[in-house]
Amino acid sequence: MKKVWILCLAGILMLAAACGTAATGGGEPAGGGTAPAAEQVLRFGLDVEPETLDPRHSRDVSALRVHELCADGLIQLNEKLEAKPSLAESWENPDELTWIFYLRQGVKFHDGSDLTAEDVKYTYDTIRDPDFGAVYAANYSSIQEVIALDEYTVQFTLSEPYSPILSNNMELSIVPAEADSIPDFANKPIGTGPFKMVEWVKNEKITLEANPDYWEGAPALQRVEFYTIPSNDTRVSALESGDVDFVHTPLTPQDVSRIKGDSRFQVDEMTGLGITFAAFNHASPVLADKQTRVGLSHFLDKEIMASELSQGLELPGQSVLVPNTWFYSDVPGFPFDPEKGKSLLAEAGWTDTDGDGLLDRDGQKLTVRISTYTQDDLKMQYVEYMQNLFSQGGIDAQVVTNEWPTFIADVQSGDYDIAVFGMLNLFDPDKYMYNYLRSTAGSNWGGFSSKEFDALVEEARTVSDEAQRRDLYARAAAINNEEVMHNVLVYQGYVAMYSSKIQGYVPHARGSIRSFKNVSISE
Amino acid sequence: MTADFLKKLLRNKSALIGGVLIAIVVLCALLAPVISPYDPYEMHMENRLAPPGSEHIMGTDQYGRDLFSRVIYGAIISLQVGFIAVGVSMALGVFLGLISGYFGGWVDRVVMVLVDIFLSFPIILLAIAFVAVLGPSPKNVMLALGLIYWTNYARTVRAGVLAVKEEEFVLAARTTGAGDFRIIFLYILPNVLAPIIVMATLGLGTAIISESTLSFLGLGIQPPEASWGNTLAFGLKFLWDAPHISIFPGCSIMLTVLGFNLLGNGIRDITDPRMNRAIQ
Amino acid sequence: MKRYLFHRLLQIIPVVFGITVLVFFIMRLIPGDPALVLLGTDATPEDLARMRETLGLDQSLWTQFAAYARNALTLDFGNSIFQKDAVTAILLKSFPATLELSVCAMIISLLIAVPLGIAAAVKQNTWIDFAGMAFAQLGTSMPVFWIGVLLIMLFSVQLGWLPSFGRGEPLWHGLWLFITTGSAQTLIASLQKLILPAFSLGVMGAALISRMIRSTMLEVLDSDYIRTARSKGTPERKVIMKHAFRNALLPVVTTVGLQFGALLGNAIVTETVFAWPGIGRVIVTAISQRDFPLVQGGVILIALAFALINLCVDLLYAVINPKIRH
Repeated sequence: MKKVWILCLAGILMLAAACGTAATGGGEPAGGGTAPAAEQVLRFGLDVEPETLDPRHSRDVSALRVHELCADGLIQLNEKLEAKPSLAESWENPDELTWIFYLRQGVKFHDGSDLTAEDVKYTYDTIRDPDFGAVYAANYSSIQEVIALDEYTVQFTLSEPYSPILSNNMELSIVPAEADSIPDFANKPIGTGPFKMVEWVKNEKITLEANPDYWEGAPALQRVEFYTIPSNDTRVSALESGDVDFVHTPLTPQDVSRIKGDSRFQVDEMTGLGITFAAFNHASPVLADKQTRVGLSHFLDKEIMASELSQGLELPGQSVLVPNTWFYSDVPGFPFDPEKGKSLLAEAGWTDTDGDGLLDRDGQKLTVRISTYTQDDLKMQYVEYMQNLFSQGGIDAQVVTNEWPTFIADVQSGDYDIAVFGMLNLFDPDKYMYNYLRSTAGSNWGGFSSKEFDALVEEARTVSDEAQRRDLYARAAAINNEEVMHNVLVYQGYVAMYSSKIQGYVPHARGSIRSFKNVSISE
Repeated sequence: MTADFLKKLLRNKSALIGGVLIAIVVLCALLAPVISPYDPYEMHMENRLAPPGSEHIMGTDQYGRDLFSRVIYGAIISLQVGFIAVGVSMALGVFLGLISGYFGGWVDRVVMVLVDIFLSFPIILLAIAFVAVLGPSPKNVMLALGLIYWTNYARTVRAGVLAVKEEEFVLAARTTGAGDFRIIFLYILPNVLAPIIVMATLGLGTAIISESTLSFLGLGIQPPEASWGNTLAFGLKFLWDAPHISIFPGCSIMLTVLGFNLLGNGIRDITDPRMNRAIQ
Repeated sequence: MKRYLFHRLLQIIPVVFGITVLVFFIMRLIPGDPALVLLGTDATPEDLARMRETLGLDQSLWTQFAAYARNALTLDFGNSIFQKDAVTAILLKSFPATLELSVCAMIISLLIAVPLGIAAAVKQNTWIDFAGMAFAQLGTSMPVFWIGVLLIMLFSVQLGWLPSFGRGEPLWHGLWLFITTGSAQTLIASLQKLILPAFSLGVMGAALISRMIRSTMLEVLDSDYIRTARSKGTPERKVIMKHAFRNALLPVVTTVGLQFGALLGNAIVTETVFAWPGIGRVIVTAISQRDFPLVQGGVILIALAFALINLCVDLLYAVINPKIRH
């Protein structure tokens, strides 16, 4: 029966496909994309549709990818996360509250106007203006004033010393000074980048074309087209069928291993700038004492999570400090050791007194809810695996999964025991450690309080010497582990998979595609 | 009517095949602990994604769990989803249909507007919204599906009530002084049940499919619980390396739903050869 | 007829109002705060409070609803919280794509169902009848997303015949180009992108429609006047097509109308699988972000569309069957 059905199906579609190929002149793949030789077009598969393309309003990574091609910031972080000149040729930091940037001259926006200090001032003034309503306004709160000293010199005055300012604030895409009076700017932004916005057909396609007047020279690609394909699996299928040329993280691990074996594609893998952690709620009655938290941590087999569930895409986590960055230090984590975990739990008073196979204390079972959100397959798998590891150790573990908005609302209101989620784009540890783990931080939802930790991260943001900061963060990360605030499960990987015809692409741990300006398509 | 009905049912090819399919599935669910060779929740990470073989006849999943055992246990959850969802929607729909048809007037108007509202709300969106409100526990998924499929029952029962309301036996009951609800449940209900049985049988399949769709959108039965829907939806991530993870639960869904559909259509052929009457 | 039309249009009003109430309050009942989703986990409680104020979410539910209903009356459905654009603009851009997909899926349903239903009726109780009906049932027995993924795997990845995702130029535009310039390229490119999603969506409806055709055909074929036609020596082909099938059309029209609602619902899933830029995907994303105005507007639009389609079906029914004149 099934055979008949498949045959019919195949018949109908074959007919359609045959008509198609016949009419388009045969031989060509159905996507209709790759015409002979040197058509310099790159088709990029995005995972989410951008919400807006005004760089001051945008908050999703898809918009960021578009900005990387259409616009420039004052500086640019290179692959090693060092600040390099971009629109600013150089800068200086005469005292800890003053930063002066010297702009490159002769840079033009896509509409032909010159880039001047006024544009920079306008960009930073609007994003900090409460009436403008920028989502990330708070991120720029250390900036007190922006002054155009002359046509090509801008001075930033800070309200307090803030050492991560270059990486956290100075990559913002500069918009022209009259941006808000340009009609439809949010859908068709104007920048100084190597590519110009042509058209955004929502939920379908974003088209960019080469900017021949780019200050670093015209790019080799004629066009870049972004397509939004929400399902990770369909996106990789589109790569395999030749309908797109480039996809990157997030990806399904199995898809990556398969594409690696396919000579038509190139796969770049590296440690990314994200972590996935289990946030322990110190305010939850069962997790209030440190001993229990440490005991539970020894049940987590991070090696298996990384090597099997993520297929090696992610690396077993140790601390909040991401490897391959300037701030990495080797801070000891929790080796997988269920026996040790058991004895620590026993010391904390958790034993199986009633012989039901589950640990209890004072007549109370050791019940732990592990929550995560449904949009992330890999985290769902980690949580399911954690539940299994815990229950083998006699812990009554339950999985709670919800959509992101529900999940994060629960976490925010303290309604969780162990919440598994993550942080992306950790190019400086300050933002994360200061905002989430400090005892008075706005996003400290787990009731963490360590005076010592607070002092360390507060000092680290005022110190400008890198080695000194690294040392401070290493000590803070160690406290985070001792107290088991955020137990880092894995370091997230970054993977880019693309057609072997793409030449000159340089992967970037953050997923930046700025190197597209040097990319060409070979035969 | 029962013996005669069963005889007709056995003679109807469609109903027979459907019935056999369903019987197999129900048997699997009832005997799950006996049939399944392994604990469906036991993980063996060293043996993940193993292809079907002599040790694991359907292979293993991404945690090295025995897929056959999970599919067998999945039958319990999936059938539960079907029966509870249909039970809820049938109870709700029949009740509303009865009162709306019997009392008429503003009760009727309110119920019919409610029906129209629910009918023009895209069903899967309504399910998403209900599950999101209630939270995705198995119980809530079943309840949410129950809350969206009641409209057809209400419409059909109402039409049936309108047809028998003025019949002699109902009028006779009224003159003996029987109360409204006594009349509704003792005299009217038995006479409008036939199309409802058909609808419920078909609805069982629909509910199972809907659960799998919710799973695909991330809102179905949540792991580690095994339903066919979530095993299929998660299994699609492994379509290339381990196609067996999605194929077995997918085929289980397909055959079970096919079973319910064939059975339902068979019953319909017997009870009402001109099916269009039931639809309108 | 005019009065009937007016009456039916009037009936739509309470339904649309009910939908508005339902979707408005359901969205507020779902846990999750759009301000938190929008601002991200970094946001301070002050930021969140300010954003809630900007979005008007700090006011009482009744005030919010009253304001929403008042604006909706003037066809102002507010702005999307996340995309900033006007809800009407977003929806009007994506609705034609969904409509195109659903209509084509319906055509595919009919293309499968009509021959199948007729063949099954004519060859009643043979293996053709049984196999045909069982085949139609298979289509409704598989989850739409599974069919979609399998089709992509087979026809895009394995065979490389058809594109795996997305939509080409609007179909009507392709058709227009074909008619005016004679160039079929755009039309064919659009069709190639359309066929897989439309097929995976369309097989679902085929079962019900073919069953419907089969049983009405059987009923008609059994009727006196067909017997008369046969006895007069009318060729069998003509009997079936002209007399029997035409009479079977009536219930088919009703079923098609009812099926359309189911199609719109299932299109949501198909659009996610095939990255089809339609309204279903917009609404699903909006729900997962708690983009209240966008979900509300989208659901109201679908409900309106559904009501209008039903109205058309009823009118069509009245035209085909002159006996019904309410």
